[in-house]
Amino acid sequence: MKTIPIFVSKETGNGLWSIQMHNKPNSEFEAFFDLINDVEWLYHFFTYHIVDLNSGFFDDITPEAAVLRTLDEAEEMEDSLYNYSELGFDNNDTNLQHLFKPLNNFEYVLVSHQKSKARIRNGWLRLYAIRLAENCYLVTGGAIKLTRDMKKMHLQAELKKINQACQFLRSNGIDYPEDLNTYTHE
Amino acid sequence: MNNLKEKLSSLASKELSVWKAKARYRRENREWLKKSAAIALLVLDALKKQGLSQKELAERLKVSPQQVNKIVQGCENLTLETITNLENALDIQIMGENTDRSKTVHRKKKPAA
Repeated sequence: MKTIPIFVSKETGNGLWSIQMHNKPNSEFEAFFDLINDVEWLYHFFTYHIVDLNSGFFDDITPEAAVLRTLDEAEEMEDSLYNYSELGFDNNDTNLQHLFKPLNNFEYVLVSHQKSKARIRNGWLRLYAIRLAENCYLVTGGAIKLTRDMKKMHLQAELKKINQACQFLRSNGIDYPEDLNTYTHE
Repeated sequence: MNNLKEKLSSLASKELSVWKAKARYRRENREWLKKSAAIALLVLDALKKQGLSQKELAERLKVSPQQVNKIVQGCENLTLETITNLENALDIQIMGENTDRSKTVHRKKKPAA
């Protein structure tokens, strides 16, 4: 595993970083945006997860409509991040902390090294990250979350990556507190 | 923060992320990419309903399977010729009636005053 700067201030080191697995060609951040802009991948994802798609957590929609909805959501999420990278993110109006929230819905206090997520309001896309400082996040991956809990295999894989990234930080001298549990709900 | 920055930088890859360039491309080409995505969905749906593989479609179109794969990913800037070939190969309608010459209703010229 290594870290990749996505958009980072040269002066402060603040900004968005991503992990990249040793056997992958791209960072997890870049790979996530490639996937959620790939119509074929999305179509197969929603066809495979048709039961979750129609489980009532979200509106009962077809895989085709779900693909179009995801593309719109991806556009909104990517635009927000692109604007941060262009306009800056080191003031009160544009701060990465506005975009990322604690992974656990019942955690209301922001702390350093906190497992975090970014989402669009009422959306199903999730960008997972570790909060390193107020304005500095390390992205560990992303997913389409159709269910209330994190039990699905692809979501469990994301939790595993967050934990791997925690271990990676810890083993490289970036301390990570042990008091953050494994969440089954976000 | 400086200590954190130093540590993160020491772990960082020398390769730069190309996400921003990709994001910029998606922003600048958004209008036609949306149309390409809609066509990709029509093609994927037709393939599924007809039980066809992308390879079989490629053979019908006389193009490479890689070319068909780009089409279904929704990232190809398709020519009118390719769209027409897709319509014929899959027996589906992609272009609307406004672009179908055989169905276009021509407005009558007004008589000269």
